[in-house]
Amino acid sequence: MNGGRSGTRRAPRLLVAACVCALAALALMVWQIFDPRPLQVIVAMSVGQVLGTASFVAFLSMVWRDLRRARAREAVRAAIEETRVD
Amino acid sequence: MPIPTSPQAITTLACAGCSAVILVGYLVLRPPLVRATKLWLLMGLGVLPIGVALAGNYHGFEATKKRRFCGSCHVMALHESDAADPASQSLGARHSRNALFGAESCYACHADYGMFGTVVTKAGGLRHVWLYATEYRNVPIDEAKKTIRLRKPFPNGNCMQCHSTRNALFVQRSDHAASLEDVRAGRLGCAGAGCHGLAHPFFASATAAGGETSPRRLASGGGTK
Repeated sequence: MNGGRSGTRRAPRLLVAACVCALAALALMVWQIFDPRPLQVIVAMSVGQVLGTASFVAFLSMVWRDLRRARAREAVRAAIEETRVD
Repeated sequence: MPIPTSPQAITTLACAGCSAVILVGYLVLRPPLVRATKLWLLMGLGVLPIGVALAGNYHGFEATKKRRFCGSCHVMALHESDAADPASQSLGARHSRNALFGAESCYACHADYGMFGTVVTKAGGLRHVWLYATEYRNVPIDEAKKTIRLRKPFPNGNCMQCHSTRNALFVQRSDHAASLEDVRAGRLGCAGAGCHGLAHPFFASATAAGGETSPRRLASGGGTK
């Protein structure tokens, strides 16, 4: 159970980092709309999109980890139920 | 700072605004990670930012076609002001006054045509940005005028997108008739001393630039230094 608890603690921290990264990415991508000069456009299309992609991947990995954990929990519960019936 | 009004810009701003509200809301409220929260985060971290990237990229690529964008590097300021000058008689300015080219006159003449023209032009543009950042950022305009030159001759094919060279009026001129094959084959440049003059009056002459000896081959261009 400890592992599970530390896992749930870790996940929001990853999510917080993903949200901050995504906000930075949004800011960079919006910057070029108001000030379309070479540096701004290049930064928006490179750094902005890398940050945005990284934050989305972090979110997906967290969801994937959550799903796996839920499935494992279900399996343990089913095994316990089975033992009780026996 | 101009207020963007294009549909792409508005889409970008709308998606970014919605996404930011979701993300800030999550950071402030920190709700439990139930299914609804995850769905909101999927919107805020995935769907809406992808919308921002798509619309933003489109808007960015469109912005790179504008004359104002090209003129934002100080070494191109003279070219930009000449193109916008209604009294200028340079080849560049006369073409910029054409409503068909409008505010995208740099791109209309300098972009390579063909299937991969846009990609090749954008790659060349990145090279310009690199050169500007590493060599020309602190170079005064007077100095830059002497050193900036074309990397390769301006392709006549770019002129011939509009001036087909097949019009009877075109061939009636003896100069055109005499050099028709050379012009079509790209052996003789349209822009340059002796023909239609330098496209931009501020370009270094061929000799000063230390480039090719024929000014005709250096006149305007498929790419600067």
